Amino acid sequence: MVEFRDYHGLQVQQNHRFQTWEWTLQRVGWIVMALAVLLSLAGFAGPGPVSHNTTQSPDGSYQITYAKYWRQRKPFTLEVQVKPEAASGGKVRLMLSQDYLDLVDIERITPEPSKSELQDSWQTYEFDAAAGKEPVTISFHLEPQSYGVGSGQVGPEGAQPLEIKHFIFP
Amino acid sequence: MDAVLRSLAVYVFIFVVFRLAGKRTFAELTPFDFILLLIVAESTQQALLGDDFSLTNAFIIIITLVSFDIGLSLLKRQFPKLDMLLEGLPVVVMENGALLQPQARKSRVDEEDVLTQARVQHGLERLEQIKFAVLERNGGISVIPHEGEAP
Repeated sequence: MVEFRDYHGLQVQQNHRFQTWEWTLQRVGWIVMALAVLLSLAGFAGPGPVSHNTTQSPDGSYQITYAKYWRQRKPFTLEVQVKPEAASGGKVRLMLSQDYLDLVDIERITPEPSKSELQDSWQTYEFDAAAGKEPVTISFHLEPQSYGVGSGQVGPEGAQPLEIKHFIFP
Repeated sequence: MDAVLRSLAVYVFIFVVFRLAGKRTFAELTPFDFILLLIVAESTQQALLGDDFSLTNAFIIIITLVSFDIGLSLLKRQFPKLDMLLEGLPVVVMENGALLQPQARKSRVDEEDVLTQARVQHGLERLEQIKFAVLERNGGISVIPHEGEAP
């Protein structure tokens, strides 16, 4: 309990048990804060060495790089790299699932798509791709609108889409 | 609803961090403490407002924080243990010119901190003139001189 104690003539509120507990809790709190700083530096809550993930399709025809650990309303880039053999007839068609589009806002797409279609809860973007030996890279500049764990599917038309999973901090 | 929850979340977070930082943080506003306060204020501004710069949002945030503060102060009067938990207790760190351990070490108070306050508060010159030094709940140090010592 809190009570006024007489400390050699000085009348002061004291509680030795509480004080010891408070000091211990403070030191535990300092360790937790230090850990939070280290995890942030590592990229578990935003930009950093572990924040981004690259995932490749099972047949190796394309890969996607995206921000796995990120923050709400902080823009990031989702990059789809498609091997030249997967680009048929000078066109690359990329599909994004509707549940993924509910998670993020598309700020812009580089290069600009020549066409976009919505069908069966998939948004498809068509890009002109000149035949070449280099992989085609399409960048989606996105901004997460909500926080928490969210996922969706992204992939070229005709290939098995990859699951994109985000841990978005508020 | 968003403005209320965000402002409460920011308030509670800052309170917990400052409480864990200890009483000595921000106690005497050294230049470093001042810069820290400025940066903390700037960091929270965007989190509080989000992308809503309306007058209504600002008023909701202000009213929420002031109401929460009033509510907390009423609860603290009603429940002394809550007051103790939220504000802490004073700590006697010096007696008869000698630092008391482990209180002074755990509270991060040294002799120079006490002497500074002794000079400022009472114009004292030496540690031997000090009867008690108490680290108060607000982080300040109050110095009680021996009878007849204060000029």
